[in-house]
Amino acid sequence: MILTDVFALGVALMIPMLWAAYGETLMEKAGVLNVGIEGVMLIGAFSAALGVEYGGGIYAGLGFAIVAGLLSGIVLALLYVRIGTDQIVTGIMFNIFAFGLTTTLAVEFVRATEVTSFAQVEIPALSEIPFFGEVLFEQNMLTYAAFLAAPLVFYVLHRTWYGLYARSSSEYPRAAEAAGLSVWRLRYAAVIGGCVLTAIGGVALFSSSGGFVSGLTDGRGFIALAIVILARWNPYWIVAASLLFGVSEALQFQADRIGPLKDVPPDILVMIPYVVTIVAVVIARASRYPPAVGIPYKPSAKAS
Amino acid sequence: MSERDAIPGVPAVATSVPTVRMTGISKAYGTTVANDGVDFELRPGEIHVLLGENGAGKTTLMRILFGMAIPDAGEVLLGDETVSFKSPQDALERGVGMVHQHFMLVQDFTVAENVVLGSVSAFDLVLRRAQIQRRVAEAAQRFDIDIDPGARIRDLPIDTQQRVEILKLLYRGASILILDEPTSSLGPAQIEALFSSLKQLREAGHSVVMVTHKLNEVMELADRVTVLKAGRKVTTVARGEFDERSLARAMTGHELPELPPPTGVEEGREPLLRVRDLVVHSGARLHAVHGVSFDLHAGELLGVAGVEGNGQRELLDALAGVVSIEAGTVEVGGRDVTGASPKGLREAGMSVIHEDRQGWGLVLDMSLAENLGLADVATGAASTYGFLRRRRLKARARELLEEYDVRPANPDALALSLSGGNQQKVVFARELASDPRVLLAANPASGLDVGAADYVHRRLIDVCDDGRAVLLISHDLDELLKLSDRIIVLHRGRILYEAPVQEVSMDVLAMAMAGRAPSQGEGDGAAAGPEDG
Amino acid sequence: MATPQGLEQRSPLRSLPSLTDSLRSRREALLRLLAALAATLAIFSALIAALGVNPLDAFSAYWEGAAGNKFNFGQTLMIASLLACTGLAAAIPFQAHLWNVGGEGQLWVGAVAAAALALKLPDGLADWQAITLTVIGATLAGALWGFIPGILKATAGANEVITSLMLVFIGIALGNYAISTLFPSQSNQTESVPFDRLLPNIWTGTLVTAGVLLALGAVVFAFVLMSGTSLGFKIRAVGLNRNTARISGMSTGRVIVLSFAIGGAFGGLAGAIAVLGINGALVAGFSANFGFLGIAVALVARLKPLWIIPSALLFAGLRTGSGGLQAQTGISATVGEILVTVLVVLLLAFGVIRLRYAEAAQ
Repeated sequence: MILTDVFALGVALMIPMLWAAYGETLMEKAGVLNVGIEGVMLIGAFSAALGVEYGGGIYAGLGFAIVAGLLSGIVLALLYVRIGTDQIVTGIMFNIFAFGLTTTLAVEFVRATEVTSFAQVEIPALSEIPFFGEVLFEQNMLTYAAFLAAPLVFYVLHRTWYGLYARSSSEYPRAAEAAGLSVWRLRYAAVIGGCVLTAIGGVALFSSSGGFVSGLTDGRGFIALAIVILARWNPYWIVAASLLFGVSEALQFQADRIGPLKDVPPDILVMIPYVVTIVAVVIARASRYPPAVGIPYKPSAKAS
Repeated sequence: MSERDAIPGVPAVATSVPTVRMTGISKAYGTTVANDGVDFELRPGEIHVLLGENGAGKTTLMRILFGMAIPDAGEVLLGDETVSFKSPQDALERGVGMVHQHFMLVQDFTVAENVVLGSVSAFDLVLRRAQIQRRVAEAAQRFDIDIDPGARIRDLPIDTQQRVEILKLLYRGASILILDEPTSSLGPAQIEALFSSLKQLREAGHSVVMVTHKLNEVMELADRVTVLKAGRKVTTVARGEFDERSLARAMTGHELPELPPPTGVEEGREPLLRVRDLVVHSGARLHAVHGVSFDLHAGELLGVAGVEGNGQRELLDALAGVVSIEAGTVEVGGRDVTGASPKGLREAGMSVIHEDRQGWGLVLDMSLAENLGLADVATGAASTYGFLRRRRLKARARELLEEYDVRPANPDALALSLSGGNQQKVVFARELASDPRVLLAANPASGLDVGAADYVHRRLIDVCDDGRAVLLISHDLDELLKLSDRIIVLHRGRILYEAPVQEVSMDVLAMAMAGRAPSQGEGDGAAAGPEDG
Repeated sequence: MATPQGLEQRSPLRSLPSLTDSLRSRREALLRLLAALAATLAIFSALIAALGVNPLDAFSAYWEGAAGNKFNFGQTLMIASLLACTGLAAAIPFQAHLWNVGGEGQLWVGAVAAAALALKLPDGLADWQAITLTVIGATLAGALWGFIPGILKATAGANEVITSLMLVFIGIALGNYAISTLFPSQSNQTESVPFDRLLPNIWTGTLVTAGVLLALGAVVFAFVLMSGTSLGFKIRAVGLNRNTARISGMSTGRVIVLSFAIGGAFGGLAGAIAVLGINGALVAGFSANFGFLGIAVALVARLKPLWIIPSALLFAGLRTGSGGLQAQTGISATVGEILVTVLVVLLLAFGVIRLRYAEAAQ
C-alpha cells in the first residue's frame, strides 16, 4: 500500500533528524543555540564511513561517530561557553568547516564500495499489525533506540537535578549562579552530550543513505533546529514533528505512485521538506526561545 | 536523603554566627572607583543598615561579600578566618546569602524549584517533585514564612516573591543575610511585613545587612548604620547616636533646598489626556490593566502609586503605544489615539520617559546627537528625500546639550559613557524637544544620586508649569507626594483610591496599595479582591 | 524588584577606558590579531603536513594561485566581487541584528533569474538594455528571496535563521531545476548566455569583467545607505536597541522587511555577476559556499560597507589560492574552506572581531 510504504520510509528518514533534535534540545535547554548542528551531523556521518572502512563495520562506525561527537562537542563547548563567541556565526562557520574537512578527508580516506547500513530487525508479533507493523516494527536498531530515547530525554530534562539546573541556566543564568551553580559546567555537559546525540544522527543518515557523499546532510540539521522550536523542547512532540518532516522527505521517493505528484519534476519534489519547515515555523508563531538562549554567559566574578 | 541536604539539623535559632569583617576593600570598574578602602563590620545578631546614595558603592561591597565580585584590594574575614569567595557557591557554603534588588527567581519555575535550586549536587540524579515540595513546605513552616510551594513565580505578587528569596537563603542554611534595596518596589503595608520578618530573623540570631538609600528605613530598623559616600566609608554609628538630619548630611555632604510647591491646576479646560475604561492584557496574565479611567489637565501632575506588578508597566506601555489596547479609549488633546503607534502618539503630543532608560530610553552605543535625534529621524523631520541631515542633527544636539546642562556636552560622545543622571537629562531633552502636550514618566529618578534626582523633579515641575500635563508613575511614595497634584493608587489593574494630594490619608493610601479599597467609614474596609499584603 | 529576566545581565557599571587604557588596548588588540593569525597558520600547516605536503610549498602555491600572475589576480578580483556582494547581503541585515544567513539562496535565485532573463529576453533589445534588465531582474529576484524571511519575521515572528536557511536549499533546488529542465544543455549547466549579453571584459589578459564595477557600485550604494540616509540610521537603531527605536516612533516591522530585502538584493546581484560576469551560464555547483562565506566577509569587515572591499579581497585570495594549491599539490581545494573558517573562528575567539550586541540581552 502506498501509505504504508510512504510512512515506513518516512520513519526511516526521520531518524537522523530525530537524534539531532534530541541533541539540540539538550543544548538549547541549557542556553546554547547550536546552528553548527548541521556540521556535527556531517562529521558523524563521515566518522561512520571511516568506521565502516577501517573499523570493520557499522557498529564501529557508530563508535567512531560517538568519539567524533565528543570531540566536536568539546570544541564547540569551548567556543560557545568558555570563550563566548557569538553562537550563530560560530555555528555557521563550523558548518562550513565540517563540510570542508569531511570533503577533503573523504577524497583521501573513504573509498565507497558497498552499501553499508544497519541491519533491519523485525520485531516478531508486533510487525504483523496492519500498517503500524510495517511502519514501526520493521526498522533497524538505531531507529528503535531513537524512539526509546524520547522518554529518556524527557526524564533527564524534567526529572533529574541536572535537568532542573540546566533549564534554569537557559531561563535566567544569573539566578542559577546566585544559587551557587556553575552555568558554564552545566552548559559544557549539555553541549558535549548534545553533540554526541547529533553525531549519532549522522550515523543514522549514513545508514539510511547507504554511503557518504560530500554535503550529505543537505540541511537536515537545520530542519532539526525547526523541529526543536516547533515541539517546544518536548521530546514527544519532537518525535511527532520529525515524523512530519520524514514523511515529507519520503514523498519525493514515492512520488511516481502518488497521483498529484507524479508529474512534478524531481528537482521540485526535493523542495517539499524545506517548504514544510517554513510553513510550520510560521504557523507556530507563539514559540519563543527561553530568554537566555544564544547569549554567552559571563560569571559575575569574571565579568568584573 | 543526600548528605548535602540543607534542612535536617538546621535549628530554628542560628548558632555560632561569625562576625563579618571587611577591611580596606577597594574595587574599580575601568576608571570608575566603586569602593575605595572601605571597612565594614557585621556583628552576629544585628541588623546593620548600609546607607548611601545611588552609586555610593553599597551594592558593589555586598556583591564582594557574596562572591559575585572580586575586590582589587582588601580582606574579608568570617570570624578569625580570612575567606576569599570566588563565586556565590563559596559564599553560600559559608552561610552568606543575598537577596538582590532584581530577584534571582526563574519565573517559569515553581516556588519549590527555585528554593532548592543549587542545593543538591547535579550528580544526585533523581528529582522527585513531590519530595521537594514537601521539603520546602516544611522549611516554610519552620521559618514561619507563608508560601505555597507549588505556585509558579510569575503568578505571585512582588512581596511574596521576596519571601521566596528569603526562604531560599534560609533553606540553604544562610545565617548572614544581605538584602539589597528590598523596599524599592513595595508599598507601606508590605514594607512593614518585611521589617517584622527581619526583626524576627534577628531574634533568631541571624545577622542582617540591609542596603538602602532611604533614611526612614534606617530609623526604624537599624542597630547600626554604616554610611558610604562616593565609594568611601563616611561613618559607622549605633542606635541612639544618629538622627535623620545627621545621616542625610553624611550621605550627601550637603542639604538640598526645598522644592517649590506645585502650582495650581487649570481646571475647566479640556483634559489633555483622557483615558476611559482602559483594558490591557499582559503576556501570561490577562487584564493587567482592568478598566482604568482618568483625566489629566494642563498644568497637572498626576501621580500613580502602587506596588510594582499591579499594572503600572502595562499602563505606561499601552499609553506609549508599545503594547496593544484590548478595550477602552485614549484621547490626547481631544484626539482619539486609541491603538495608535508610538509615532502616531508622538504626533498627537505624547512623550515618554520610560523607567528603563538604558533599555527603552537610549541607544547606548549611539552618540548623543543620534540619541537626541531618534524621534526626528522617525518622523522624517531630520531628513530630506531620505537623506539624513547630519549637520542639522548635530547642531540641534549641541543646543539641547547646553540647555539641559549635560556633561560632557559632546554630541559625538557615546551615550554609554555618561553617568545615569546625565543620561536621564538626554532622555528629558529629547522627549521635551518635541514640545509635547502630555509627558509620561515612570520612575524617572530611579538609580540616580540625590542631585540628579532633584534635577529630574525640578524638571517635571517646570513641565507642568509650562502648561503641559504629566503622568508620573513611581514606586517612591515620597516622590509622588512631593510632586503630584493628585494621586491614584493602582492595584491589580484597577484604581482603588484617588485623591488630591492635600487630602491624601496615608493610612487609606497604604491600605489601597495593599488591596483594600477604602469604604465609607474606616473599620474593616471592603476588599476589592483577596488581599495579598 | 522583578525586572524582566536577562536584563540584569548588563554589567552594573559601564565606563570608557582612559587614553593610556585605549593605547594599551590597541596594542593588546594587535597582539590578539597576531595570535589569531599565528594559530590559524599553525593549525593549517599541521593539516597540510598530515596530508603529506610541505606547508611552505602550500603557502607559495596559495600565493601563486591568488596573485602570482595577472590572470590569477584577475580571478581573485572576480571572486572578490561576488564575495563583496554576498558580504553586503549579510552585513546590512546584521546591522539590524537580523540574521540573514540565507545569502547562498539569494545568490542562487539571482543567478537563476539572470540566466533566465539573459536567455529569454527578446533579440530586438540592444545589448546594453538586455544586460541592464538582466542585472536588475536578478537583483529583484534576490530581493524577493530576502523579502520572504523578512516579512515572515515581521508579521509572524518566524525565526529568520531557519527560514532563510530553508530558502537556501529551495533556491539551490530551483537552480538545479533550471539546469536540468528549464534551459538544459549538454553539460552540467544551463545553455550558455550569448556572448553579447554577457558583461564585457575590462582588463585584457584576464577574465575580469564589468562585474567588478557592479560590485564597487554596490559597496558605494551600501555606504551611502548606511551613513547618509535615514533608513540606514533606522537600521542601525533597530539593531542596537529595538525597544528604544520602537518607542521613538520608528516602524520596526518596516525596517526588518526592508533591511532583509536590501540584503537579498545584494545577494541577487552576486548571482548576476556569477552568471553574466564569470561563468557565462548557470553552472551546477558554481557556488563554493560563497553565500555563507559572505557572512565571514561581513564579520571581518565589522559590518561596515567600505571595509567589505579589503575583506572580500582577503577571502577571495584565500579561495583562489586554494585552487592554486590543488593545481600544484593535488590537495582538494575544499581545504581552503577549512582555512577560512578556522581563521574566522579564531578571530572571533580571540576577540579580534565581535558583534557588539553579543552581550546585550534582547
